[in-house]
This record gives sequence, structure tokens and C-alpha cells, in this order.
Amino acid sequence: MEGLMLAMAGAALAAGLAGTGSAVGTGIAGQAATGVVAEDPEKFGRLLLLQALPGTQGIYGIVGLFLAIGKMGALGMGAMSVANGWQILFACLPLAITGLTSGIAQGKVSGAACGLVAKRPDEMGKGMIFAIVVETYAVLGLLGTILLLQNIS
Amino acid sequence: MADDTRYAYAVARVRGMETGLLDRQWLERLLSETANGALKALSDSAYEESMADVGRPQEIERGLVLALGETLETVSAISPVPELIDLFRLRWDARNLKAHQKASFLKLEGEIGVASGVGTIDVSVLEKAVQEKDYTALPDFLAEAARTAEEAYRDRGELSVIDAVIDRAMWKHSLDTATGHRDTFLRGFFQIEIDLANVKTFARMKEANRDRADLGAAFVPGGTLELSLFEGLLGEPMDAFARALEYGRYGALTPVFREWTPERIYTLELVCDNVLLKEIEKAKTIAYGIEPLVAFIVYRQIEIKLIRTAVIAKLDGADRSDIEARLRMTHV
Repeated sequence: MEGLMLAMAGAALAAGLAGTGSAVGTGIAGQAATGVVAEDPEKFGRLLLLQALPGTQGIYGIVGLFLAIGKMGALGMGAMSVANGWQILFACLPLAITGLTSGIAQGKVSGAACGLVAKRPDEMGKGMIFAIVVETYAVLGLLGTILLLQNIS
Repeated sequence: MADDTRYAYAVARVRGMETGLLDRQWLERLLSETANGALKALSDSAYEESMADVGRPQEIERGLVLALGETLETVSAISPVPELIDLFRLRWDARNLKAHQKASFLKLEGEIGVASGVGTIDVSVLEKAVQEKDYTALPDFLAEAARTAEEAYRDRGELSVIDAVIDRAMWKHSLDTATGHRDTFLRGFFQIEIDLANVKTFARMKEANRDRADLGAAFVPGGTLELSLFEGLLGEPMDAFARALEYGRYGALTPVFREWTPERIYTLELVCDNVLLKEIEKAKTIAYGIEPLVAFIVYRQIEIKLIRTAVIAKLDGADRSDIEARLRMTHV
């Protein structure tokens, strides 16, 4: 049972921390978007896209959670060894850490991009690219977690 | 300074409001119009609401004060720390208090130059406080300053002591509040404003052949330039003051003092504005913090000064080249 508890803690960290990153990130971007919409409601559609960008980390967290649960099932759930439990926990950390930090960072970049859209609506693409660069590291975190989980036996 | 994401909404909204600042194209229109045409042009800009009740260019001040009041009130309302933004409204409270006290001592009635709707205290409250000599309705520091100014005026009989006492109290409160909030940017910005105010005071004092005691009485402490610097140069040629400033933060003021004539007081005002604009330029790049809010307020204040200068010059019959010369060093 101890192995299962450790594995579940890892899965919970992946989903919880990545979700927290998204919650904070979309919150920051949402505040900025609201500020711009208060002056120009017609920019709502464009800004919604920018606000949604930091939301992907939460989705990656859930993907990581399902993958971890799948691995727990493959290892026999309650019969899982403590060593396997630690392996799953550590495998979940790349996603948990990058999800939390990149979600917040991406929210800040998206919020700043909202200011860019307010002043220069035609430059929205550039603002999005800046935000998407941050996304790279959330994707790498997810990939790291997938690779580590696949190698647990 | 770390990102202060509490400002996310306010900064984004200010970015939107910045699109309403008047640009070079609009300035060109202002210059090519008559005073009446300029008023009409303002009605087609971000000043539309504030100019709605202004019927003729001679009344433009009313609309400009209203516009400034709206700007300060809006920025204060959206700021997560409104008391810091209110420091920019506070100077209008100080100005109105000074106007009421001077009018009271001189027994003036009617228009005394107060600006309604810009400060944090209703002008009627200030008027009543001055008339009844009961300042309990004012913030403590302003009440204390008002009482001190009254006593100082009774002792010396000079209206300038009212300015000195209230200005000192206002700047001290501003610096203390910024320091209390650990806002190094705002504190530094206020110090620059104090320095520039002291430089202008020095130029006026020197032009009027005033002595060290007068300079000391009008000097506002708290800036980066010490009183001793000004005192030491009061009896020297203006060129010596230019040399003293040359390699410091205020080097941009050097040419004004190097070729000093009494008429350059106006140029000095413009160059001081430019020093502020240059300082605030750095603040524009901050994504989360009070800096973009302060930058917007400064831009709006200078823009209003620009409009006022242009329209008054037109009403005075100045030709376009004269007006352009007065506006040459503005930010647009």
C-alpha cells in the first residue's frame, strides 16, 4: 500500500501543481484582458485566446495524472512495491514543476501581451509567440514525465 | 523590482487609455486650427466628455482641469494601491488650500484660481476649513501645515511663506508615503520632481536678486540636490550653475543656464518636463507595477500643459512659428 500512496502523491502533484500554475496564469492574463476590454470591448475575442494560453498546463497535469494511474494499474495497484511508488512520484515531478512555474510565467507574458494588443492590435501574433515560447517548457515537462513513466517496470 | 501582478488589470487598462493620448498628427491639427478650431478638435478626441460644456476657447481651462481630474480619479480607482496614485491628486489639494488661504488673508472674493474635482478633498471643504480656521476635516499633515502656514504668515506677512510651508508638507508626505510602501520608483520620481522644483525656484530667486535666506525659505528638502549647492551658487554667474549640473542627472538643463536670459524661464519649464519624460520613458517598459500608471499620469499632465499653451498662444494672437517654438520640446 505504501508504494501506491507514493505513486498517488506523484500523480496528485502533477495535476495539482500544474493546475495551480494554470489557475494563477489565467488569472493574471484574465485581469489584464479585463483591463483592456474595459477600454475597448471589441478586443474580447483576441484577448480570450491570450488568456486561455496558460490554461494548457492544467490539461497537461490531468494527462500526467491519467498516465500515472494507468502505470499504477499496470503495476498492480495495491501490490505495487515502494520502489515503484517512488519511481512514479519522481516521474511526475518534471510535469508538476514545469507546469507550476511555466503556467505562472506564461500568464505574466500573456498579460503583458494583452497590453500590447491594447496599443497595437495588429501585433497580437508577436505577443502570442512570446507566450507560446514559455509553453515549450511545459510540453518538455510533460514529455519528461511520459518518458520516465514508460521506463518504470 | 519583482513583477507586481496586482497591477495586471490597471496596467492593461492604462495601455488601452494610452491610445487616447494625442499624437503628432493631432498636434499638427491643433497648430493649424484657430483657437475655436482647436476647441472643436479637442471635442473629437479623448477630451470629448470634459470639453462638452466648454463653449469658447477662453473657458478651455475648465475642460482641461476636468480632464485631468477624470484621469487622476480613474487611475486611482483602478490602482491596487490608490493611496500612492492619490499623491498626484494631493498636490492639487495643496494648491487649492494655498489659494484659499491667500484669498482669505487678502480678503479676496470670487474667482481665486482653485481647481475643482482634481484633488482628493472637495474645494468647499477646504474653503470652509480656511474660513472657520478649523482644519479638522483635512488629513492630519495638511491640517498641521495649514495651521503652521497661518502662523508663519502672521509672523512674516509674506504670502510666499504659505507656499513654502504647504509645499514642504506636501512633498514630505509624498516621500514618506512612498517610503512607507517601499516604492523606490515613486520615491525616486518624487525626488526628481523636488529637484526640478528647487532648480526653478533657484532660477527665479536669482533672477529677482533674492538672498540666501529667501532661497532657504523656499527650498523643498527631500530631493537629491542639497540646499548648500544652490546657496553656494546664488551669487555666482548662471554659467557656474550650468557647470554644476553638467555631468549629473540634470545635465539636460545645462544649455538653458549656459545661455541664460530672463525669458529662458519658459524654456526651463519645458526642459524640466523633458527631464521628467526621459525618466518616465524607462517606466513604460515595466509590465507589472505602478510605473506605467505614473507614466500615463505624467503624459496626460504634460499633454494638458501643451494644449493650454497652444490655445492660450492662439488667443494671444501668436503665429504658428511662435507656438511651435513654445511646444518644440514636448514629447509628441
